[in-house]
Amino acid sequence: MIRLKRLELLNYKIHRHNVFEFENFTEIKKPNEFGKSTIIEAISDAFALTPEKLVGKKTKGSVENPVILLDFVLDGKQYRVSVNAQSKSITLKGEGVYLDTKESISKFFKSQGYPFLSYVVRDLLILRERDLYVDTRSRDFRKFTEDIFKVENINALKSVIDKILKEKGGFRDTSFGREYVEVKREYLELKEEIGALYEEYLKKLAKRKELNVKSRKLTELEEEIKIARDRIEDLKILGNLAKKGMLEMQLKSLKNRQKEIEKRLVEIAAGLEKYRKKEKEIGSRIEKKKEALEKVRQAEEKVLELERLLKETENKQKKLRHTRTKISLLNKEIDRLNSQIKKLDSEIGALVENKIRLQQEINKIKKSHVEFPESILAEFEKRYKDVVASIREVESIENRLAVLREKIAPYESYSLEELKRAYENWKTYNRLRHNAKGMLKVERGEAEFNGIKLGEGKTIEFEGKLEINHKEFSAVVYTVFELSELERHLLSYFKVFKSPEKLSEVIKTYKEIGEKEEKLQFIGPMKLLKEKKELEEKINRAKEEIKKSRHEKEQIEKLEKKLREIEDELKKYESQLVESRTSLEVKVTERDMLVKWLNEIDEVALEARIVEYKREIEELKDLLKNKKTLIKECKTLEEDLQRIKESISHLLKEEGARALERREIEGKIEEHEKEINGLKEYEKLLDGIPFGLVRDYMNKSYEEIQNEIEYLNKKLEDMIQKKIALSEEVARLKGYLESTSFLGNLDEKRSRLLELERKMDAFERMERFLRKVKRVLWQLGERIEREYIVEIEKRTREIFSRITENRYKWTGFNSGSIFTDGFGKNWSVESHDGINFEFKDLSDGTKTQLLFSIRLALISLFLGNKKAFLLLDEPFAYYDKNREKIGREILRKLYEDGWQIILMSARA
Amino acid sequence: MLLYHIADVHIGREAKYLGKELFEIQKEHLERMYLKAVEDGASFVVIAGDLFDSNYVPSEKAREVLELIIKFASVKTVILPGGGSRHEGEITGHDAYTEDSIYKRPDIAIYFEKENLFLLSPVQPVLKVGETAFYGGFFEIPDYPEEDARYHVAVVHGAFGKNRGEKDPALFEGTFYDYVALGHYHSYREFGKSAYPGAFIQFEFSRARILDSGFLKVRIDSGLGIERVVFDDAPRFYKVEILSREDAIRLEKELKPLDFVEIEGYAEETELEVRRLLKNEHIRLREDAYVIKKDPMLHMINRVIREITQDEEPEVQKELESFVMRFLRKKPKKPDIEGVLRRFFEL
Repeated sequence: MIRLKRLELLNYKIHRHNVFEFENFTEIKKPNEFGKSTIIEAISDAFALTPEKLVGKKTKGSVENPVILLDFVLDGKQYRVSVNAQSKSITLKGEGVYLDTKESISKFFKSQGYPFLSYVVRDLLILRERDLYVDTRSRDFRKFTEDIFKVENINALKSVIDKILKEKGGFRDTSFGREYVEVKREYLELKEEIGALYEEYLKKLAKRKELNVKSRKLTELEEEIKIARDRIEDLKILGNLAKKGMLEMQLKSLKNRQKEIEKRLVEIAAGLEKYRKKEKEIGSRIEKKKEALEKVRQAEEKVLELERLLKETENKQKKLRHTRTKISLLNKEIDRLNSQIKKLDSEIGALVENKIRLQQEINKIKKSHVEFPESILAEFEKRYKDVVASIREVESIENRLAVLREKIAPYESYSLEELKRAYENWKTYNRLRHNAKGMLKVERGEAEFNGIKLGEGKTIEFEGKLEINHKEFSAVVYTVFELSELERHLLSYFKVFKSPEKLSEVIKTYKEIGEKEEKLQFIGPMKLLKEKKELEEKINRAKEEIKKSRHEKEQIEKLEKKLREIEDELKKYESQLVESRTSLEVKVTERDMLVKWLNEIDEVALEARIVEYKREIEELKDLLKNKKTLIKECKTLEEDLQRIKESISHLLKEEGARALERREIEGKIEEHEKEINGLKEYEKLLDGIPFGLVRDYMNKSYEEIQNEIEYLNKKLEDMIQKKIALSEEVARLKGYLESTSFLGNLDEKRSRLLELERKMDAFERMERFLRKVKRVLWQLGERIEREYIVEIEKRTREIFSRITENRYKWTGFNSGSIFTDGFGKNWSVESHDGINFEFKDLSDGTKTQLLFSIRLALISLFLGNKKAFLLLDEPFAYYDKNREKIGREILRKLYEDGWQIILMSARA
Repeated sequence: MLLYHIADVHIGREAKYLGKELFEIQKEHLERMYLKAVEDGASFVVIAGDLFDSNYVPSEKAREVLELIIKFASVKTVILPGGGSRHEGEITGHDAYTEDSIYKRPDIAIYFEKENLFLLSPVQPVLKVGETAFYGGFFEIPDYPEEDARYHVAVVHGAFGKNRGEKDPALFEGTFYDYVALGHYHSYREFGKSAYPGAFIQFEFSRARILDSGFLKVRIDSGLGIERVVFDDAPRFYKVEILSREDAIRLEKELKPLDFVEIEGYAEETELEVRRLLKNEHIRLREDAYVIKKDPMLHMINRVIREITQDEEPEVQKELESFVMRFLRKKPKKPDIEGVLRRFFEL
């Protein structure tokens, strides 16, 4: 329960300082203008807790801002709320409570069961003249109503779910969304991994099957190998026995052959003896023939030697003749060369002389030649150009200066500083005039104002200054004192310059003259003219120097060219001279050698030797005539000897072969006999061999049995290879199966997948759940307003029934929303005797009762069963007596129910 | 003919507060149930789906369970994989007969070559064992009987009931089936000739009611007799709201030694009672528990939520109510909601 006790107002509207005290039923009866409504407004402001809004409510003529102090009792405890616009502060003081912010005070009220108290006071607890309707369309009302009905919470929850879920399924990119994606990713990866492990596991199962099959095969193969080996052993015995029989046969045949060979060897020995005797005889005959042939060969060699010597001597004789001719030719050539050398020496001497003369001439010119650099001339010319340009600029500035000086000639008496000051004053004068406008109204008579004649009742608006002329009377009115002061200073300028623009132009001209003069001074025209003259002289001098230098250069070049030509010629002659001298030297040497050789030769001895050689050759040629016959005889004898040797060789070869064969056969016989003795052992083993086998192989040859053994061995070898491969295979499979556990970490992975599956399931369940929550919230939002209405209807019905003392048993709201226009009018009621009435059909009194009931029902929504105060401002102002009676009756009942009633009334 | 009907064993699952101990409890009760079946002369044990929590349950665990089952030679066990019952797309989750089904693993499939273990699958949806024919509920339940069978038992895994999204179990009435063994819901439910035994051993927290563990004894002779057997010594898991002193007293009185209770919220005035309850180590106050203040508006809203969700399955209805109400009491903030959701779904 909340009760107002005391209200103190300071500088609040009409109340400069007033204190009001309230009972549980207080009626303030005062005439209009007392400030009754202001009291209610102040109570509303006290709960609004906004001191800044009080500033505008200051008492007229008061300097200080308003202060409201409101004492009230809340659930038996005393509190004071103070709203002070002077210190811009609010406080709530009470038993153990001191709060000084709007938030903390609102929170305090809420905690005490009075949420939104400021709104409840303003919109529900205060009733103004006749205005019993509650305005449910206001934003504030809707806001705190929705808070009461948790609409805000519903919307907030919806909004958070919307942030978590996507519209069409799945999670948004929030922590859930990301986690879900992550879990799903891990799940899929793990599933794939498990798939692979499972494949591996299936592979292992298959391998295990394969191992079993292969192990079985291996055992079978080992058995087969054993059987094959036994058979081979048996066959070997049978084979050895067959071999023994075969060897005995072979031994017999070997011995026969041995006899044959010995007989043949005796025959060969006789044949050899005969042939060797014949060989000796033919040999001695061939020896004699060969000695005769040797003599013939020696004679041939001697003839050849003699012929060579003869030819050599004849050649020497011929060479002697040639040398004599050559010496004579060489002497002639030497004479020619000597005369040529003499001529060249004299030519070279003349050229050397010429060369020295030319060099002397060149050196002479070079010594006096001086080169003048053309760049210096270019520099002079460039500078000359610049100087000419500067002179032209000076002329242009001087022309401009003449024009400018002519322009300012009339104002020469003013200095630039004076003009600048006057210009600034003139601008201030104009500004002052413009800002100081005035108006004059002619009351009586007529006069001339600023040159305009005006009569009675006429007005004139002016800026800054007004000149008044009437007959003899003349006056000037300045709107601002400073204007007259300024005008006094500016008068002469007004006359001379007429306008500030003109003055500004003159100032500008002054400034330009200054700038130009400064520039002229900087350039220095006299200096420029002097430099121009100097430069002209320098350029001429330089040009002459260059011309002279060029002429000398040409001369030197010409002489140097001639010198080079002489040098070339000199080189040519010198080279010819060297060539001639070398050639002379060669020829002299050659001639001297030939003369020396000629002197050494004895010509007579040469002739005698030639005759001697010819004679000796003729003597030897007789001996050579028998040579052909000798050769023929010798050849026939050698052919006979060859044939005999071949026969001997054949016989020796056969003898060797037979001897070898005899040795081999002897060896074989020995071997056979030895082997047969060895094989006799196998006869004892025959009993151990299965009879069937002995029978099958009894008549087979040793080779046949050997072939059979070979075939079996091959087969055995195949089997052994197969066994090795199979054993390896089995070992590999065993190794593979033993290398890792059979299931691997499949079960571990499955356990992890189970966890992930559970997480995924939780996420999916959560999504389904949140979508259901969303659906629920959606429907809940729609249902809640309907529920408000039901609740308000219910409460209104209870209150209305009590106020009307059960004359009405039912009330109903006819609209879908309470937040619409005409909330108070969309009601119908049913009287205790079952008759229905629309609001509009009710009597004024009943309407008042219904509207009160609705208001109280709304208040109870916020405050529950807690009672508060009702502030009524002239509620019955427009009521007739009967209706006022009903109204007062309602208030009495409310008072009796525990409500505090504070009534403002102008009526006595 | 007597058969035992169980479902939703969920081997491989762990339970809050029990962890892996759940597996030991599951095995112990399976063994006891089979002993009882032998003693009663039961011909079959029918497992109507979700024997395994997932197709990824480790083989070792699965083999342990199957070894236990085949040990009882006189009792024949018929197993139906989990999953839905309406269309192929629904056959997912838990031990559904999918491509990677646990029942297809060679080391598991080998058990179904034994004489007393049978698997109903899309490959073999109908099995005749002696005089009894079993019909697996895949997509459609066969509507023609095995001619020379005396008993016809359908085994179906799916959502049957009167709530939204459920299939009406009345469709089994008037068919040639003597009994329809259902699986999927973890609470016991019976409708005419079909019934859910509930989870064999409970492992999840419920809100709407306390769920017991157990199985059904089904006798088919001249008529159908269904008897529910509840394990008194199996764990139970439930969440409660203490709204009054009476609620606290009732909870204390009805608490069993293997119960695990979480208090989700309590009325302001029951704080002392709640503190007393928490002295029992099987009762825990949830980290995100809420305090319920008297508020007629909230009372009204709670009623509206119940009305809106009345078509939902009771457990879902209670979940929705609890979740929404929590945030109508206190203005919801994103982190709070996320935290509550994490705890709600044990994420």
